[in-house]
Formats: sequence, C-alpha cells, structure tokens
Amino acid sequence: MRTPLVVLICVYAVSMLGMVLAPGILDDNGQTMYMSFFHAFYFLAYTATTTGFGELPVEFSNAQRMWAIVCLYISVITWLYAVGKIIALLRNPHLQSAIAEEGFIRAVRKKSNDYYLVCGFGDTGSLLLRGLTDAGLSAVVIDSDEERIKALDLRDYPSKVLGLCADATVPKFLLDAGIERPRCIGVLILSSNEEVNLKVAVSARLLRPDIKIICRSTSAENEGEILAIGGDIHVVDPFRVFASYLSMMIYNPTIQTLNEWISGAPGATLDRNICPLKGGEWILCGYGKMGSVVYEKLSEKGIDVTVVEELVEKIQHITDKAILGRANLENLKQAGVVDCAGLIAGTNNDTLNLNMVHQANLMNPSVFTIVRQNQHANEVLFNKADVDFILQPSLVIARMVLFMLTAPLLRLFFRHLRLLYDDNPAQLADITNRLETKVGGVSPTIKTYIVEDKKMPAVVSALAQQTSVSLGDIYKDPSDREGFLNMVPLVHRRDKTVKAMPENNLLLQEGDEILFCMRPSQKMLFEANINNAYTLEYLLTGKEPAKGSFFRWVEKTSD
Amino acid sequence: MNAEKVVFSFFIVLALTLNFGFFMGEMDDFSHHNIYELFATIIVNLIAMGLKLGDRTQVGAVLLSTSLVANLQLIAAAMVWGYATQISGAGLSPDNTSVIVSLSGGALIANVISVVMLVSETLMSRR
Repeated sequence: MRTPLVVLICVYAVSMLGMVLAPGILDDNGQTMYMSFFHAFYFLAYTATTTGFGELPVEFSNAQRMWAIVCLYISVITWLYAVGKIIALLRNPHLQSAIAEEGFIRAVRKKSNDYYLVCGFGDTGSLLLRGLTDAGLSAVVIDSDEERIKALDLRDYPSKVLGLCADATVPKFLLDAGIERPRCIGVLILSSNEEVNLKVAVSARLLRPDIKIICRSTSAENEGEILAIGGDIHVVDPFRVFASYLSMMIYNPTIQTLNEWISGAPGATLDRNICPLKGGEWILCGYGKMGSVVYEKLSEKGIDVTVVEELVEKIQHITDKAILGRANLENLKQAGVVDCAGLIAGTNNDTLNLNMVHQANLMNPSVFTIVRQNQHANEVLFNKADVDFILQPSLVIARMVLFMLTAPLLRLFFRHLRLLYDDNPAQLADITNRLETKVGGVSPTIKTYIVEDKKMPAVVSALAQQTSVSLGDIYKDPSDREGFLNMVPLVHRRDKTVKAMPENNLLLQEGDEILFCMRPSQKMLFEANINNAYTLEYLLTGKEPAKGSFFRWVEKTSD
Repeated sequence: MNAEKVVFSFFIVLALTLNFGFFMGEMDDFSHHNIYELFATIIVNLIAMGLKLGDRTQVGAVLLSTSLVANLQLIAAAMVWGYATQISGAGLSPDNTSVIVSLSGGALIANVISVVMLVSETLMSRR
C-alpha cells in the first residue's frame, strides 16, 4: 500500500511543478502567463483520472502542451497502478473474511431471540436447521467450508440464519458466535470430524459451564471422553441411532410407523405400516461401522440376518452368517435372496446400494428393500428407484436432535410405547387408533406446552382463582363443549413424574408440561383456549361469561 | 341465545345506523341533516362505549378504541354546531355544515370497523 501512494505523490509533485514552471501564452499586456499551483493541480486532477476537460483556465502554450503530454501518460499509468493495488487489497481474502467476521459479530450481538449455536453445516446440519427454523427457533452457524456458508445465504429459511466461515476449534470464533451471551441456549456440534467435535465440546463447556451441548460422535471411546466433560451434554451416534431405527423398523414396525408419522416424513400415514412384515429372514449388505451395529441389534431381537460383505477382515467373527464378496447376483442368491423377507442395502456407496436393490428385485420381486442414502444430493436417483423404504442417516440424526430440542418429552413417549409393545400390544394398537381417528393425515403438529403465565395465561389465572382445570378442559372444542379438538395429549410431566397418554381428568398445576399431537389446523383454536380467559371459562362452566364491566354488574345484581 | 350479546350488538349496530342516517345528504345543506339525529348518535355511541368497558381481551381493547374515536369525532361535530349557532351568531353557513358532516363521516368509519369486528368475532367463535 505504501509504494503506490508514494509513487502517486511523487508523480503529482513533478507534474504540477512542471506545469507551474512551463511558460504559458502572452496576456493582453504581452507578459508571459504562468499557471498557478491551484490550476496545475486542477489540470492534473482531471488529466490523471482520464476525465480530460481540455485546456483550462486559458489556452496552453506549446511548451505547456509538451509537458502536458508527459504528465498525461505518466499520471494515468500511475493512477491505474495505484487503483489496481487498492482494489487488489480490497479483494484480499483475509481482509474480506475479517470484514465478514466483523459483520457477523455485530449481527450476533444484535440478536434479540434465543438461538442455538450449530458447529458443522453438513447434510445433517442443514436438515436440522430447516427443522429448527420451521419450529420458530433461531440458530447461528459456524463451518470451516466457505462454500457451505455461502450456500446458507441462499437457503430460504423462515428466519435469517447467521453463518461464519471459521474453524470452530478456535475458541475465539465460538466467542464471536456469542456462546457467552445468555441468548445462546445450546451448542449443537455436528461436524463429521471426531477430533474437531471433541475439541469444540470441551471449549464450549469451559466457556459456558451451564449450556446444553449435543455432540455427534461415532466411536465409543470418543463418546466416553465427550460425556466426561459433564454438565448438560448428550452424544448422538449416527450409526447407533440409525441402526436402532432400522432394527425397530423390522422388529417393531408399528412404533416405527408412528415415529415416521410424528416426524412428518413425506407420505407417512398411520393407516398402514411402513414395513408390512415383521421379522423373517433378512439380508444385510455392507458390514461396516453402521452394518455391524445393525447386525448386532437385529440379532439381539432374534431376527435371522445374513451378511454380504466384500472385506474378509470385517466378517471374521461371524463367518457362519456371512458371505464374502460383492453384492452381485451370485452372492445374493447364495445369501438366500429368493426366499428372504427383506434386504438392507447399507453400504456407504449410494450407487452400489441402488444397484443391489435392483438386482434383488429382479430375483425376488416381493422382497422388501430398505436402502441407505448417504448423500442428500442423490435424492433424485433414490426417488426414481424401485425401493420400498429409503433411510437417510443425516435425516434420522437431524430429526432426533430436533426432537431433543423441540419436544424432549417425545422420547419418554416412545419409551412408553416400547414397553407397551413388550407387555401389552393391544394398548399400543389403541393408541395408534386414537391418533389415527383424532389426528390422522400427514405431518401432525407436535408441541410442548407448559402451564405458565407466558404460554397459558388463561389457565394460570384460572388456577390462581382456585378453579380446578383438568387436562380435558383445555382442549375441548370451543364450538361444541361436549367434544374435543382434533388433538391428543401424549405425555404429561410434573417435576420428575412422567405420565404417557395422560387421562383427561388429570388436574393441572402450574409448571406442568404437556406434549400435544394435533392437526396443524387446530393449533390456533387450542391456543385461543389457553390464552383467552373468556373462552376457557366457557369451556369450564358451559356458560358464556359476561365481558364488559356493565354486564358483569348486571349479572351480579340479578343473582 | 345470550341476552348480553343481544344488548351489546344492538347498541353497536344502532350507533352505526344512526351515524349513517345523519351523514346521508348534501355535504353543505343542513336541511338534509337533522340535529336530533346527531344528538341520538352521540348518546348511543356513548352507551356503546360504556358497554365495551372492562373487556380484557385484545379484541375488546380494539373495540373500545373504535368507540373512543367515534365519540371524539361526533363531539367535535357537536361543538362546531354549537359554536356556529350559539356563539358566532352568524348561523349555520355551508362551510360550517360541511365540517360537521365530514366529522360525522369520520365517526361513521370507526363505527363500521367496530361492527365488522363484532361480526367477525362472533363468526370466529362458531357457537
């Protein structure tokens, strides 16, 4: 930066001096006129910048014109050189990232709503962000990949998501992203790099001892280290989550169908199971990190699984249940594809997965195929393929994290369902039926409501007046008091006591948390019930309460 | 049927209809505008405002504010009438008349908003 400035000043000085000294034309008295410094600077200002107003303020003499030629070439070239240098400086990536960082810090500081800090914006991160913003939550993203941060700006999220291209392991950037601000209510660490995740988790815990951390990890030892950090920390192992998801689907399709439906998976309805068969003989292609967990889970449940795997060292300990080689026609036949119930194409290669599904379908058209989709970008191919069910690990993880954040009670609901499945299958069917008849459709709204002044002012003020409000009261239909809105309370929690599928006659207390599953159209009516004191009073008593002071007075005197 | 609803809606709708009746006619010809109608409009509007007091909902607050606006405009119109006929001594000129009528026109808009809100709230509650 220094050189172009010095050069520019020198060129200006020499040119101006020349113009001042060069003799001009004669004036009216026959005296030679000289240019003043001001006019010389003026001349140079419009010459050097190639504006060229002409010979000002008076016509030039030939001597001046000769020097003007020299000035013109030298100064224009110097100008271009200097401007080029300045532009190059502005385009410097370091300066640009410094400017972007400064803007990001300022924007984070101005954030007025609660937000999550998301480190790692891969497939999982972007799916999760979609869910978070749809649920009305806000987030700030740090990712080291510049392209991904750029892509963030192009996504049409309902609310603006701030992104910073930086290495999250450097604590300074976590501070930039506002981890110390009280508005930051959680850190979600989702990058695919184990080492990085651990580092970020440690620094996040040191910076904010009380904050909620959710961290992705795929190895058991790493998980142990992360959990040892302590505090409100959760580890999500994509392989384990994915495997339990998959085994649940085969072992217990009813619950899995419910899960899919509640997650709002496209096309998931309650009137039919995703996987029409339960148990049976299955073929698992790919025995890698994920495949081994799937195998373990399925075997635990007593499902007969045959593995097809290329690498001999991976299947050494299960040789009797495994077939060595690629999943081609011959090996699939050997694994018993002709009379098996289903096939899981679970390698980490999308093309291979689709190909083996195609071959299996050729040999056994009735086989139920579950295929693992690794890359979100391959969506088109998977939708075209003749596959019964597509599982995307990134989507499964994103959903799980999303529910951990938006509906923590849902986990308890599913725990209850799993217990029911073992003890009392008839009751499970009842729950499914109730959900199907009362809510039904696709993509229900799942929302947790807390009995507190902010969320349920009407209920809280009714409770304050010693009126007893039961769970059934608050979701009655305001147009027909005998009936209920199209919604089902899934879980009720009071301190440590948790009740799945609570009864309608349960009396509410302040601080209770209730998880509701409802038709999206019913949300507004329900929120009117719990917000509007008059509506709630009508629901409680069946009588339209007097609204104005005058009518209340009339009511009181006529009693 | 609910007696409260009947009384409440009666006064709100009557406030609008009386106001409209007064407003109808040539702007600057007071023979088209009856001063007793203005009197009745003001009284009914004040009663409607009284009935709206004490409702704690958002809708109630907006309903009350529309009544406040209508009363403000109508009372201003009455004051112009009083000044022209009683104080200035010049009687009602076309200038004064058009001011009175246009003020009542403003109140009319506020009353229309009030009735629209009343009707839509009733339809929303669906019972």
